[in-house]
Amino acid sequence: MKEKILEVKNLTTIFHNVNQDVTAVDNLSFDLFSHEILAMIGESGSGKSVTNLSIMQLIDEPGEVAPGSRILFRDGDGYINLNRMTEKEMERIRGDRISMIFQEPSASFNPLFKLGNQVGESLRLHGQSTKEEAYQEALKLLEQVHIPNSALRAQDYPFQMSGGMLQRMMIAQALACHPDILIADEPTTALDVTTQAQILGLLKEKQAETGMSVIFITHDLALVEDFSDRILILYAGSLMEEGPARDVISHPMHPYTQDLIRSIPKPGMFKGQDKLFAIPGKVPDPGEKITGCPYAKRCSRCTAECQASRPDITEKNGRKVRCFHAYS
Amino acid sequence: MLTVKDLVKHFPLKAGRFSSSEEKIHALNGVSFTLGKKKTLGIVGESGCGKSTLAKAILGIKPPDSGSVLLSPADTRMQYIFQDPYLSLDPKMQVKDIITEPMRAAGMITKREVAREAERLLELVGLPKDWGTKYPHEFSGGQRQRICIGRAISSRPGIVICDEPVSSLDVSIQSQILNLLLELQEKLEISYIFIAHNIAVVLYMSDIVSVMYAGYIVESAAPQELYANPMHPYTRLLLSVVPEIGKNKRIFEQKITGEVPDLIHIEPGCPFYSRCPVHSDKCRTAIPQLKPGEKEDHSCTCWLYQ
Ligand SMILES: Nc1ncnc2c1ncn2[C@@H]1O[C@H](COP(=O)(O)OP(=O)(O)OP(=O)(O)O)[C@@H](O)[C@H]1O
Ligand SMILES: Nc1ncnc2c1ncn2[C@@H]1O[C@H](COP(=O)(O)OP(=O)(O)OP(=O)(O)O)[C@@H](O)[C@H]1O
Ligand code: SF4
Ligand code: SF4
Ligand SMILES: [Mg+2]
Ligand SMILES: [Mg+2]
Repeated sequence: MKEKILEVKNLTTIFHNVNQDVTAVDNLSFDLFSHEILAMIGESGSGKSVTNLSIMQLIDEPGEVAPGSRILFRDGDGYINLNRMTEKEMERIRGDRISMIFQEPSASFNPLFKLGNQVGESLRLHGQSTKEEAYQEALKLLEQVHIPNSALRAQDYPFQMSGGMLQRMMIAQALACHPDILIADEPTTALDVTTQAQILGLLKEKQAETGMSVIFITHDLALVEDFSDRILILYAGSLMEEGPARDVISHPMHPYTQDLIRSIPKPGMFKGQDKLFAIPGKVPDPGEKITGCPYAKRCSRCTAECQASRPDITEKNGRKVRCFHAYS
Repeated sequence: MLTVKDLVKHFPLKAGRFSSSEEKIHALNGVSFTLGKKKTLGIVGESGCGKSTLAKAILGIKPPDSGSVLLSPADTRMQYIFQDPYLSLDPKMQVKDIITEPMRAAGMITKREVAREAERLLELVGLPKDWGTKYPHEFSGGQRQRICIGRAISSRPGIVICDEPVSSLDVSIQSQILNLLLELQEKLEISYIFIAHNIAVVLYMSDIVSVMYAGYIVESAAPQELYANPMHPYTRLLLSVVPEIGKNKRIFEQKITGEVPDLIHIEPGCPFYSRCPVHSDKCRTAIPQLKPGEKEDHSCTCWLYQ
């Protein structure tokens, strides 16, 4: 039996903007198991980043994680609710036990300092080692993430690195303290396909080695079909579909998932011969009041019922779906 | 028709701590192709291989060091669409003025005709025609890219260069924009140079695809042919790591050796040598020429085929 490492229950995160409230994450619940790669899929603005920043308790004013939200994190034999932790307690968890890598690698390095020192410094923040020990440890890490000539490259500044190398250094830094959970927020979106394949390989290798769990955020469904164990599909801050990765992609139950898959250009489609499917319309604006199903305006299966009321999640055979007229 | 011959562009490195002033970045190392009427040339290649430099050299924004760009008289108007729809629109201008800007610059319309032309263009790119008095910040990313497209086609250019036109957009919006570009090509007989590093997108959009590596075109072919029979080892590597639904490709298990090419310290021989799984000694000594393959219009620069 796999062990639950994280249980997110009824997570709601609201931004109290001057003119309106924006519910970025709407009553979201999901589990993360040990040794698992969980993919979180959704279009821009669907709430992927906010969900994970909420887990890390990194939501600032005017944002607020609703007090009733429970983020249960496995601690020894029991669970602690991260939404009840003090900032001091969270500081010990962040980086040490839950690490995050961000989409933009340049944002997590200081351009003015040598990379080796920066990775070493982050090791020192979470351990007791001396400066020299930390530096040596940092070199080892860089080698592990396949930075060639790591001793030399550690003397370099961020601008001297390619995007892919920086991304690997960021992974090295995030893995430094052997976290239980690694949150990777679109770690390959800015990279080309060869570098992307290298980064995925590296993540998979490290995951197998350390047994950590990974939340992998992306908007690229094709990427996670065989890379992740389970998939969550988000739309407008709500969970639309959840299930084992392969099943969700080979037999999508939610109309949105199916439309997403159809609208991905596939190699082997050619102009004049194939027509790429396009979902009509656009995602709801932030703060837009939606009474019925959030996907109703764009959905080909939409009925009066969908416009009038919001579907609940139904669960069957390890699959979850929020739709009145789901495919079976 | 557009004929590009032997385009070369090197950027001098600023003299400083890390380099002598002699050194330069070899961004474009002799690129040639022709583009016919109503055709699309797709260009793929990894980050930094010179795609945008090529686009800018053709447009004259960053004139090439050497080589020539020849346009047939009917195509003298070229326009472009760039990656970021947020950066490429002036926030202080109304959309009707933005979208008709190239027409006014070319003296094609008077001030009085702006509103009417803007309505026509907005409709053409699938936006409500009465949105001309809005400002860019009132539009979503996909809508902004539609405005950029409307602006690019407004002056009836023969050629539009699209540099990563959909990479900042969501998948669902991406398909809308790609189909719009194809529809406008049919309607207005436009030729495109279509640059992207999403290979599936480039295959879908193009009549001929060129693969670039380290400032060279290393392979060109019709998209069907390139996909079915890739010749160059780099093209094969690229295709092997493109994520594909339902194919169980396990791209994270692909062994990829070597780093991206050094464009400053140029070694003799094939630029792909350091990463090529099938190199031989010969590859180190001389640069292979672009040679036609067995199929018509399929050419490749690799010693394996010479
Ligand atoms: N600091 C903030 N203040 C106000 N609203 C915010 C803030 N951060 C996020 N939001 C809103 O919350 C919603 C969810 O945003 P989030 O960043 O989680 O999207 P995402 O799924 O990560 O999208 P992307 O793919 O673009 O990264 C959006 O509507 C966004 O406008
Ligand atoms: N104005 C410039 N000054 C100096 N170097 C430049 C300049 N523009 C581009 N380069 C360099 O030329 C090379 C090719 O860059 P280019 O922008 O053409 O790549 P690209 O193929 O468009 O990459 P991407 O996919 O990341 O957009 C890179 O090494 C880049 O750093
Ligand atoms: S509930 Fe209705 S509108 Fe929503 S996804 Fe299902 S069928 Fe479509
Ligand atoms: S010329 Fe040689 S090194 Fe270059 S791609 Fe061909 S086989 Fe590989
Ligand atoms: Mg995000
Ligand atoms: Mg570019």
